[in-house]
Formats: sequence, structure tokens, C-alpha cells
Amino acid sequence: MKIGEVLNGVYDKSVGWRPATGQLKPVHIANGLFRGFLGKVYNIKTPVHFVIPWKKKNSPDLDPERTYDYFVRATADPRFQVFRDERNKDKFERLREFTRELLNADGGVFPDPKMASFSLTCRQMISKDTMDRDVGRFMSEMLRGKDEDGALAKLVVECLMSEQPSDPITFLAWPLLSHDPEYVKRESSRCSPYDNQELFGYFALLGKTAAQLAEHQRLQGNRLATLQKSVQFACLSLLAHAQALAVDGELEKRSPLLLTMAAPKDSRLALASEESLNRYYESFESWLAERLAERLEKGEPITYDSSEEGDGETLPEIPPQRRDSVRKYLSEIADEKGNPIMEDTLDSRMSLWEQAAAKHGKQNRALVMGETLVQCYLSEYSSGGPKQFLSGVGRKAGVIYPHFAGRSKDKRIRPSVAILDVLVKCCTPPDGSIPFNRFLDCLWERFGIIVGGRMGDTCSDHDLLSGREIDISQSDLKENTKAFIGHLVDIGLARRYPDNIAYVGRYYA
Amino acid sequence: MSAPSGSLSGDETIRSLYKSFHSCAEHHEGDLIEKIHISTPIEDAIVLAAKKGKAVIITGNPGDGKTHLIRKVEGDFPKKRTVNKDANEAEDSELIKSIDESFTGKTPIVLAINEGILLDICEQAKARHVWPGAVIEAILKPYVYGDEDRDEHDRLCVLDLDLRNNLSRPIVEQAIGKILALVGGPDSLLNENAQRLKDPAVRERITRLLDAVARTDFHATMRDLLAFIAYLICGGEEDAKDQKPRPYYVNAFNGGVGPLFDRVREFDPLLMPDPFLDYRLYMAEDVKEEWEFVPPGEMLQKEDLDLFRERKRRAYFEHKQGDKILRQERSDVDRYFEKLKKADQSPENVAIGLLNRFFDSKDDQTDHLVLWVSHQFSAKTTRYVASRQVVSVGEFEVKIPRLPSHMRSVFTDHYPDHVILKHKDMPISEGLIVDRRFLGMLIAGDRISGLGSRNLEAHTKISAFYDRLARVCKNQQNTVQILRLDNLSRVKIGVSITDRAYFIPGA
Repeated sequence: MKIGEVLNGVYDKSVGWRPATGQLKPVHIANGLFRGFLGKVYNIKTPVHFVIPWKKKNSPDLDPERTYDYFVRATADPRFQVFRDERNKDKFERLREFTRELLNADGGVFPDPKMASFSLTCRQMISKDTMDRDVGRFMSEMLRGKDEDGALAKLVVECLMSEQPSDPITFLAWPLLSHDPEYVKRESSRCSPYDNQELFGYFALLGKTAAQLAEHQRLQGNRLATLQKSVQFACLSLLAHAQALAVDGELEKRSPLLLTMAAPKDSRLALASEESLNRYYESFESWLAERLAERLEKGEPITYDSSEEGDGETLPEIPPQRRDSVRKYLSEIADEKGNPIMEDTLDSRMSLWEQAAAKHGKQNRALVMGETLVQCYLSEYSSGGPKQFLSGVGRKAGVIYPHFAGRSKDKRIRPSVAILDVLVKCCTPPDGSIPFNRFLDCLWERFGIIVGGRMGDTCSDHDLLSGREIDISQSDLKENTKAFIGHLVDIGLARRYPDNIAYVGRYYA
Repeated sequence: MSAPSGSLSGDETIRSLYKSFHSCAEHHEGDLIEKIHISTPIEDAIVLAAKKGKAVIITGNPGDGKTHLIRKVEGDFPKKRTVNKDANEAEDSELIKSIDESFTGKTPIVLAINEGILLDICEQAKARHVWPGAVIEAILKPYVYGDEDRDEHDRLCVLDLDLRNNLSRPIVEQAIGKILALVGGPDSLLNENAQRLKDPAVRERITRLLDAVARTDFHATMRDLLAFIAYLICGGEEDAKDQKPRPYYVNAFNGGVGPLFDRVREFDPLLMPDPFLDYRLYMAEDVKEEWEFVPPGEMLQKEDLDLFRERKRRAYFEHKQGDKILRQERSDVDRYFEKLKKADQSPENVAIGLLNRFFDSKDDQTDHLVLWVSHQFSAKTTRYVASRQVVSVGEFEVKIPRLPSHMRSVFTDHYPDHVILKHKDMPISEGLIVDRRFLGMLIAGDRISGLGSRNLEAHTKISAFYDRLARVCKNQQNTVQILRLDNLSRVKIGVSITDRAYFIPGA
């Protein structure tokens, strides 16, 4: 067994998706989500070859089967015959370039069609790419609902099933697209959202939230906007799912995510937000360690192969808590490439075991070993663990700042305008507005996000943060709330009145 | 400092008016209320509604003079009417009960309450009562558009003082008159400024200045206005009470603290060059005949920059050509906003031109709107947009908001803060609200190649409008335009859906 596989059993049987790469982008989730809705994929070889002329990513070598001569002359493809005149070669190349930039706006298209996720505008662009690590399938099950009556899922399916290209991007790509689907299984051996009874209430709440978003989206006429919002919602739900899992569905115990606005780097608020994110990752990692400990204790499989079937691989029984036996046990887990581990790596693993034993007490053998293996995984697995995964999705979707690229090590919760729009739509009726305080309650209830403005006896954001040993003053939180309202007002999502009163929602003339 | 009262001299009362909290009605004594009361049609509207037995709710922002108004007119109310001059402090449940009783005709009420608090109460009560919906509608949707009108409610009268233009000519003239009447005798240190403000030409310029401010969507409260006029006359320096204040034209732009002062400073003549006048003032070449009002003893010094600054501000109010300075359009935002409000000057073309140029600053088309679409799932900057839909200008209309007719006679001189661009087949609620802030973002996009679309706030707002437009505009072209936003290069290609092939338009 490789170190990168020790959590696969937990991911597959308790989480439902594998947070095991830092490379995941929202476009991959989109591809998996829409595939999960329809149970169909399409042959995307032609559009991939048309927009990506290279053999390999970052290589200048052109694939001879993706050149102007190949498309226009050698195959005499009727779709491109208008470019036969050599004088139109430039036009052909410019068309390819501009089409590439539209269909690959999210950077998910690679030369190999099996690893390509288009910035989808229609079902004919759905591919087999599995880069989403099953997040899309899981979210599609969640949005479809236990009884297949999810309003947002239905709306997205309507958008995807459009028979004529109503938007300019689908229209542009139409000649390139295959219209013959290949059916794929929607079910998976990995767990579904409804396998975990503890989260029933939470998923019911997310379903209601998704339905509210769908109501808003039905009032506008751009299919693409609905597709975008559904994926942004899936990304937000993914972050919230990890948070809810970490407390086994007891939502009031969640580690809150502190949203900051206008908080410069290294300011008290920014640091508190960064700290809230760290606590969020830690609580999820601890939960993973507990689940792994349970599997070790019960002798359940630790990992499954990628085909998702079969009995899976187990680890030997947890050894007595003696250094020599633990060392032997840990040495049997290979490094991330499958090679026997080096002595210094084994020393590091032993050091992590010592720390876990000190934390939980050696009598808790399973928990100590579970935590040890999770910590080894987190430190050795270079593809990234839950933190890189969730942080990557959060940044690329525009929830966590810096958005998208962001080389900064420190990250904080600061949604983009597009994500704020989704949050507001998820919490407000399409024909009106709600008081700001109710919106804050909604953000916490549905997405585990706080701003600092709830100061009541029963729900205090300050208490939530101090309960997690995050040190931030009431006055800083007040300032943050003020800045948040100001930002919502500026982008037309709220209206402010004197006496600290504000309403959130779309305002009509 | 003590509250303005009979114990204060007139000059001290003027000084105290600048201190904003002293202008709250709660602190004013009866005689001062009389002295500084500014009469508007609202008083009659309150009394009339009270006599008709309606529930009368006077709302607005702190400092709008709600309590003051009730005090002024309560003597004219019919008997057995409950009056609550400051309902902000009342228990929510009691307030809901009393409004409900008034609405159902049991015990009529007149109350003053801040707008936000009133909305909060309505929100709490709207599930159980009928009236909160009407109150919310009156506050959040005060306007009608086009030919529509709205009848007044037969049980309820909501007067939102936020709609009162306190910088309108009649109110400003009254405010100046009332405050000048407070100035002490001939020995008053405030006399020099007071004398200048008594000059009709100067008063005219002040009213025009404040009218220009009102047209920038700024809502000044009555308290803001009184403080501003008081400060013109006396300045605000506590330690200079025994000295003659600076000239009013300096006070107008310098030293005053408050939102109205900030907005007036945007009209500072020093920000508005007038080369010929400026040269004459700087070189002290002007002669006394050029001035409306010649004060004694003005020092004339050539090429003195400080003196020039003072004289330029003075010229704004007192030079015979000073009104030209004010006539200059302050910014493109003002210019475009004025154009959008003029129904006879094709405001649709203006709006469409701005929207097209937001995406492509080289695009000078004003006769059709290109519906650009961007699509991506991540938070990356949008680099390319595409379109296969253009909508003719003839399909659009710009709607200018108006108050319903029964409110127009109460809130005279009200300037709406927005216009709405909409498709003719679209309900007004689906239109694009164009206010000055949004206009500023559009114009910024117009100026800088390709950067306009990177203003995410504006882009989000425009995209949402285009998404709503897509519901009503079904005609699509068989060509696609793609625009690269950073260098504004374009590709246009035809697509045959039936043949599933590309073609070159026009070839």
C-alpha cells in the first residue's frame, strides 16, 4: 500500500469524494456534475483536436493530425472547406485561437481528450475526464435529491438538454460537436450523500438552498449563467460538506469560516480569517483520522483500487504500542510512488506516532495509529491532501482569497462578486429582500460562514470564534460587518438605512 | 454647549445650529422651532391625512426633521389622535399594535420614526398584518414610470422625508432668511457675512450651488442644510467666537464638517478653471464694475496665489460672470446623467453607446446593443466574450422615475437618482437601473481600452441585465463575434447549423 492511499477507504466510504489533488478546478466539477445529472458523455476528440494543436501540454510540437493542412486539405473535412483558399489560413488559425480561449476559459482542456474538461455550455461537451475525483457525481446526487426532485438539478438538465444552440459559444462550437452520447453509470461504489444518516438534515437544508437559487435562475434567460451558478453552488457546498462532516452533522458545532471584506493582508481580521480556515482544515483532518481509526479497529479495507470494485486492501492488525512493532508496521506502507520508504522518512513517521500517542494516550491504539497515518499522508503525499484540495477549489471558485492563481501562502475567506451573488440568491427570495441579520443567520446555517455581525445571546459570532481560540475583538468584527454591508450595497445586493439597518436581496425599481 | 434656547443670543443660536446634534428637534425649544421652521407642503399633507383619519407615518433619516414637523403641526390635528413624536424608542410590539389599531380605524395615530427601524418593524409584522406591505411599498418603491400612476392609500399615509429635496430653492431661501433673522444687532461679529447673504445676487448663487448639489443624488437632511447656512455666516471655530468669522465664500468650501460640506466641496471654484476670469483675478486686472457686490477694503495684490484662491471663491458668488463657473459641467457623469434624463434627446442611444463601449472602447455603435456573453466557472479574469445577438435601439426605452401624482404636490422639486433602461417588452423591474455610481463605472470602461469589462461590479450588473434581456430578445444571427478584451481584437465567423459547417460572412 502506498502512503497516498491510506485515506482512500475513508474517502470512498465515509466522504463520497476524494480530496486528493490540489489541481482540481471548478471546471472539472462542472464536467462531473453535468455527467452525473445526465449519465452521458460525448466524444470530444474533434473539438479538442481543433482547439489544441499541440501534442503535449507546454510543448511547441504540433500534432500532424491537428494542423490546418490536416483539417482542411488532407481530410477535406466539409466543416472547414470555407478555409480551403490559402489566403484564409490565417482566418482558420484565428478562429481556432479564439475558440480555444472560449472553450478553455477555465484551463481544463489538455491535448488528450480523455483528460479534457471544456468550459461546458451544452451536454455535447461533457467528457469522461475523471479529474473531479468524484466530486461532480457526489454533488449531482445531492442536487438531484433523494427522490430525484431537486429543483436546481432539474433546471440545469433543462439547460443542458436544449436542442438548438441558443448561446454564442455553443453556436460557435456546434459544427465540432458529436451528438451521439455514450451512456455511463451514474451510481458509484463510493458512498452517496444519503448513505450518511447524520447528514440527512444538512442535505435537506442544502436542497432547500439549491431550490431557492433555482427560483432566481428561472427568472433570467441565459442558460450559461445557470450553469455557472450551479457549479459555484456545488463548490460552496463542497466546502460546507467537509465542514458538516467534521462534526457529524451537528451543525452548531462547526468550525466557522470568517468572511472578511476590506481586510488587508496581515491585519487582525485577515489573520483571524486565515486562522478560521486553518481550524476548518484541522477539524476535517481530525475527523478523517477518527474514521481511519475506526476502519483499522474493525479491520475494514483501507483502500480500494481505482475501478472502485473488489474487496479492497487492508492493513495488518494494529501492533502493540511499542516502538519496534510500530516502526515495523509503518515501514510496510510504501512511499507515494510505491517504493519502500527511506530510513529518514520512517524516522519522521515515528516522530508523528510519538506526537499522536502523546495527544491521545497510547491506550487509544486505533486513534493514535489513525492520526499517525493521516499526518504521514499529509506530510508525504505531494499531490495534496484535503487542505490543498479544499483550498484549491475555494480559491479557484472565488470563495477564498487570493482568487484563482494566488501565490500567497496565507488565504482567507473573501468571496468574489460572482460568489457573493450566489450566496445572496441562496438566502433571499427572488422577489424581495430579507433583513441583514437574517441573511447572516442564513450564511452560517447554510454555508458555515460568519461575518461577525451576530452579537446576540444565543448566536454570537465572537463566541463561535473564541470557542475555537481565534482571537479577534468585537469591534474588529463590527468593522468587518460594516465593510461587508458596504460591499453588498456597492454591488447592488443590499440597501442600507440609518440605525444600523440593512436589507439584502435584489432591489427593483 | 447648551441647547439653543431663549437663553442664547441670536449669534450663539446660529453657532449652535452648526453643531449637528443641537439641531435635533428634541432639543429645540418652542420659540426656536418657530424661528427656524421652514414651511413646505408636507405640513398641509400631514394635517389633511390626520383629518381624514388615516394612520400617518412620517419617516426618513435622522436629521430630516420628522419630530420637528409633528411639533409644528400637532395643534391642527383632530382630537383623540395619538401622537408619537419619536417612535424609534417605542417597543416593537406596542408600535405594531398602535399602527394596526390606527389602520383598522380604532385609534388614529401620527408618528415619526426612522426609515430603517420602520422597515424592521414591518418585516416583523408583515406575516400577520396588511399594512406593512403598503408601508414597505411606499418606502422601497416610491416611483412610478411612464404613464402609470398610483392612488393614495385610503387608510395609510406614509411620508418619507428622504424624498424631500431640502436643497430646493424655496427651502434654501427660507433657511437663509430664517437664519439671517437670528443675527444679533449692528454690533454682531456676524454682520458682515450676514449683509452679503442678504444680497439677492449672492442668495441666488447659493441656491443655485445647492441645487447643483441636489442634482448629484445627494440627500441633505434639514439639519445638514441649517448647519451649512449657519456655518457660512459664523464658521465653526469655538476658539474664534470673539473674532470676526472668515468670509462666507471661504466657509462654503473650507472647514465645515459633514456630508453636505463634503459634497459642496466638489463644486469648489478652485476645481473649475475659467482661464479668462482666472487670469484677470490672478493679475488683479478686474475692476469694481465687474462685481455684483463690492465690499470695502479688499486688498488687491498681483500674482498672489492665496489671494487669488480667496477671490476665485468670492467670484463664484459675487462676480457678474461667476454664474458661468457654475454652469460648467462638473464631470462626464453629470453630463451623461443629464442626457439620460432628457426624453427628447434619444437617451436610449446614449445608454446603448455606453454599454457597448464598456466592452469595447472602440465601438461607437449607438443604434444597436451587442449582447456580449462570457462563460467560465472559475474566478479568473474574463478575457474573451462572444455574441450572436444584437438588439436594435428601437426596442429599448429609458424610463425616468416620477413620484405618484399625490406625492408630487407634497415633495416638490424632487430629483430622482436614477433612470431605467429596459426592453419595451420587459417589465420595469427587469430593467437596468442606471444611477450615477454605475454611470461612473461605465464611463471609466469607455475611457480605458478593455479595462471596462474588468470592473466586476459593473460587469456583473450588466451581465445580469443581458441575461434578463435574453428572455425577451429571441432573434439571433447566424454569425458569432468574439472579442478579446485586452487588445480589442475581434473575430467574426458564420455557422451553418444545418450543414454543421463554418462560413466567412460576406465572402
